[in-house]
Amino acid sequence: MELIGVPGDIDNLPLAPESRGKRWREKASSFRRREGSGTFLAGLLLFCVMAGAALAAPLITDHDPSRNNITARLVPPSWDWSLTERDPKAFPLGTDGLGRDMLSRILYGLRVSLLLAFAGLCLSMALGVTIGMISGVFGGRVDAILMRLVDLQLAFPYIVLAMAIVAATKTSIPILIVLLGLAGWVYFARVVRGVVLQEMQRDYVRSAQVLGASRWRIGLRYVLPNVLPAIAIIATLQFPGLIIFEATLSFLGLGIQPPTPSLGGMMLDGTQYIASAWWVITLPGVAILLVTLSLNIISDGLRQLLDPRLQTA
Amino acid sequence: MSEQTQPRLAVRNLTTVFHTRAGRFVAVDDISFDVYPGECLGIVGESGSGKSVAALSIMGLVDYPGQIEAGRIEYAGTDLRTLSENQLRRVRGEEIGIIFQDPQTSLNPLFTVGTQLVDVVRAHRKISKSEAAALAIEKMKLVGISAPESRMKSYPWELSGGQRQRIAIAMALLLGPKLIIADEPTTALDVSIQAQIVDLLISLKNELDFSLIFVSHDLGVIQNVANRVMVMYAGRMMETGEVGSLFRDPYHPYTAALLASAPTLRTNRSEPLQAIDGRLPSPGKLPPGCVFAPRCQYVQEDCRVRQPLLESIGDAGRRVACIHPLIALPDEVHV
Amino acid sequence: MAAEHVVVIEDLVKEYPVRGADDTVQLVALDAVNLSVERGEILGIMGESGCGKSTLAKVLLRLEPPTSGRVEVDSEDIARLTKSQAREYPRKVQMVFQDPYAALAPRMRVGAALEEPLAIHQIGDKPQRRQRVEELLALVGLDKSLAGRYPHQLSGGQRQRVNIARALALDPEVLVLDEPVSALDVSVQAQVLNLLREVHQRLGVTYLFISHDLRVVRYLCERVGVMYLGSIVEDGPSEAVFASPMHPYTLALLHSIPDHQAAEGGTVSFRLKGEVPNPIDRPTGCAFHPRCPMAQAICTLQRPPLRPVGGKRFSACHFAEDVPELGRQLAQEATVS
Repeated sequence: MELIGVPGDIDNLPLAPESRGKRWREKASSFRRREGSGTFLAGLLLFCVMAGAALAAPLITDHDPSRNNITARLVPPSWDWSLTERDPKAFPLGTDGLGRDMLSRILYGLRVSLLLAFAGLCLSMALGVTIGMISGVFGGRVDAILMRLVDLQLAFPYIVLAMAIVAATKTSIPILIVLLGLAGWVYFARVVRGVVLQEMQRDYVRSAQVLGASRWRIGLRYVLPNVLPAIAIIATLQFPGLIIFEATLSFLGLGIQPPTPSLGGMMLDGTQYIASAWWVITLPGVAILLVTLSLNIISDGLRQLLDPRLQTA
Repeated sequence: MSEQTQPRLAVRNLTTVFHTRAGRFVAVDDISFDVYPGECLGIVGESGSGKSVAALSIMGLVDYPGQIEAGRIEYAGTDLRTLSENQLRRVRGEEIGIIFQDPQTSLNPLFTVGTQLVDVVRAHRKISKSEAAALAIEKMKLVGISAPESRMKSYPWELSGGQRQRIAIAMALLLGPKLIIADEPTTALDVSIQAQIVDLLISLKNELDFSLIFVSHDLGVIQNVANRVMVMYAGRMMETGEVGSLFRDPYHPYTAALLASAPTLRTNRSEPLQAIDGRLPSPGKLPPGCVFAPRCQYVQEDCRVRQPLLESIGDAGRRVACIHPLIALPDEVHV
Repeated sequence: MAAEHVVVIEDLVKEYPVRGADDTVQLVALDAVNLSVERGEILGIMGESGCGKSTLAKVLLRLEPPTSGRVEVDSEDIARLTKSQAREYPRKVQMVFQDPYAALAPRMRVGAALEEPLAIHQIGDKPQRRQRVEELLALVGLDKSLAGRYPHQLSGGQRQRVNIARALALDPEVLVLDEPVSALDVSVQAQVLNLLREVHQRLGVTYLFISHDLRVVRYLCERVGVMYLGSIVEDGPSEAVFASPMHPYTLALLHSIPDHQAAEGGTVSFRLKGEVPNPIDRPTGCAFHPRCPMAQAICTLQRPPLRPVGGKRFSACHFAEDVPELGRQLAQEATVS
C-alpha cells in the first residue's frame, strides 16, 4: 500500500516532542508558503482596517454622524486630506442631502452593521450547529423533521417573512438580531449535518460505539472537534451574507431607524440623489463591498488552512 | 531466461526526489537495474521503500512534487528522459504498458469498458472504431474474459474486482507493448482472485514474450511470479539476484529479516515471529552509513559510518549493499 | 478439556434489504452461521471479501441486530438484553479495527483515548484512570510518554497498539479483531502479531481473529472457521485444517496462497474458477458448487449441513471425507512437477 505521495507519509514525520507554540509557528510558516496565502493575508488586513476604523470611529472623525448642516448639503468628496488638518469642519467623503458628514456616517454605520451582523451570526451559529449536530448524530425521525424545517425555510422567501415580522412588531435591535439569526442558521445546520453524517461513518466513531459511548458523548467529544473547521469556514462565509441582509432590510426601511446611521439606510437616502450626487449612494455601497469581499477572501483562505485533506501533506 | 542478450530496459543511477514543505526527500536513491526480454523483475519492499516510485519513474509518471533528478532510463537504446512529453506518450502504451493496484481508480466509471479500450487504441493508431473494437475484444479474450462482446458494453462498476483487473491488463496489452509495469496489481484482490491474476500474468508473459516489472510488498507473490528480484528499503536497493537463490540464502540482513518476519504455511507456530524492531527512518533524516543499520541485528560500528555500495558477491547476478553480508566470504575478499 | 463456551452462535442470519430495479430484495450477509467459541481460545475466522466475516463481527458487537437466530455471550441472548445489561455489554466484548489510522479520533490525544472507556463506564477516579492508562501502555509495549501525542504523530504499528490497549481497557472477555494487521507492513505486522500472542498468554482473553490472510491465521489461531458466502463451511483445530482440509474451498484457498517458503518450482495447478457469486442470488444447494472441482449432482440440489467429521472437526460438504485424498493427490503432483 504505497502511495506515490510518500512525503505525506505521516508515519515518517519527526517524532521529537514539540511545544504548542512551535507547532503553531510551523503551521503558520507552512501556510505562508502555500499558494494563495498572500490574498488571504490581504483580505485579513483589509477586514482589520475596516473593522478597526469602525470601532475607532470617534478617534478618526470629529463629526457627529447625525448632525444636520443645511449650509453644507451635498458637498462632494474632497480628496485633499490636508484640508482636514486645517479645517476640522471639512468633509473628506462629502456630505449627504442633510449636510451630514459621509465619512463619519459610514464609519458609524459600519460599526452598527458589523455588530448587528456579528450578533446575528452568533445566534445563527448556535442555532444551526445545535440543530445540525442533533440531526446528524441522532438521525432517523429527528433528522427527518429537522431537515424538513430547513427545507421549509429555504423554500420560503425569507425577506418577505422578515418584512412581515418587522411590520407586525416594530423595528428594534433585538428583533433585528433575531431576524438575522434566523436568516443564517439553515446553512450552518445543513453543512454541520453533512459533516457529522460523514464523520459518523468513520471507524473512530464506530469504535466509540463499541466502547459504549452514548450518542451525546460521541457527538460532543468525538464528532464536534472535527466539525469545528467547517463551522469556522461557514461563519466567515455567512458573515458577509448577514451584513448584506442587514443592509437590505435597512435599505427597505425595515432595519435600523434613522437617525442612527446604517449603510443600507444611507443607500436608501442616496437613491434620491443618484443623478446629482453619486457619492451618497456609492460610498456606503463601496464600504459594504470591501467588508464582504475581505470576509470572502478570509473564508477561502481559512478553507485552505483548515481543510484536513489539504492539511495531510 | 535466454542468453544474456541486450537488456530491454536499462536504468542507471535513477534518483527521484520529492520537494515538499518538509524539505527535499529522496524517494529513490541512485538505483540501477536491467530488465531482459521475457523476464519478470520483481521489486519488493515495505511502504516508503520507494518501490512504486522506482517503477513509475521509468514511465515518467512521478507526480508533482516528485521529480526525477538524475539517471538514465534506456529503453531500446533511447534515454526516455530525453524524450518530449508527446514522444513519451507514444512510448507509453505502445512500448510500455502499465497496470495499477486498483483498477477501480484506473478505469473511468462514466464510460463503458469498450469505449475506454477503443479510445486507447485510437489515440495511438489511425484505425476505424470497429477495427479498434475487434482488437479490444481479442485482448479481452486473451485475458480470459468470457463473452467479451457483451462485456464491452459494461461499465467498470458492473464488474467484479477480478474482472476489472483483467480489463486493466487487457488495456495495458492493447498495443502489444514489450514491457509491462505492474504496480501491486494483486494487492486489492482476494486470495483466490489474486492467484488467478498472477497465473494470468505469467502465462501472458510467456505467450506474448513481454518483460514484466512486478512491484509488490508480498514476498510470496514475488516468489511465484518473478525471475529476478530487487529488494528496496528507504529508497535504496539492498539486494538483488535470482529469486530462488535470494529467497533461499539472503545475504543482506534486511532481506533475511523481511523473509523471517512474514508468517508462512511452514512457520513454527510455537515461536514468536522474528519481527524487525523499530521503524523506517524518516525520509528527511536518513542515518549516515547504511540506512538499515539502526534496525539491523548484525550491525557493527562501521555500518553506522560508511554507506555500503552494491557489490557482486556469491552466485551470479547477486549484488548486495552490505558491509557485513550474511555469507562466509573468503578472507582475501573481505576488506 | 472442560469446554466452556463464552460465545454460542446458532443459525444466525443477517439480511440487508437492497433496493433493486423493481422491488426490494434481501442480501443475505450471514446465512445460518453456527459457531461456538471456547473461553480463552484464539479462533480464526477466515474468508474472502463478501463472505460475511465483518458482518459477523458487527452482530457480535451489537452494532447490527441479527435478523434471526441466536447469539449468546455468557449464556445471555444479546438480542434480548435489559437496558443495564446492554450498558455493561461493552465490558464483555471489545473490538480492534482494521485501519489503525481511522479508528482513533484524530483530535484526541492517546492518553485521552485510552481513558475514554474508563470514563464512559465510570471506572475509578482521575488518578486511578491515569494509572490504568500507564498500565495499558506498558501492556502493549508503548512508552508512557506517548500519552501526550496525537494519533497522527504515531506510526501505524504504534497506533494499532493504542487500539489494542483501548480495547483491553475494560478487561473484556472476548476481543474481536477485524483484520488487525492487514493494513500494516510486514515487519510491523510481525511485531503486532507477537504482541497479540503475548497479551493472550498474559490475560487469557478470548480472541475472535478475523482475517483474509491464511498465513497469519495459521500462525496465530488455535482453531479456525472458514466462511464462504455467509456460512461457516469448515471448522476445526488449525493444525488439522491446514494440514488436510476437509472442505474443497479450504483446500483451494490453501493452494491459492503465494507462499515464499513453498517448495521451489512446485507449480500448483489447483485454482478456483470464477469469483464469489453475488449474495443476492445465492446458488442452490451448496453455495460453493459452481466453483467446486468435486461437485456432483447432489451438490446443486441439497445444501450440506455443517456436520462433525471427526476429531473436533466440522465440514459443510457432502464429500468431506474425500477432500483429504484430493489434497494428497495435489501435493504429489506438485512435488513431481
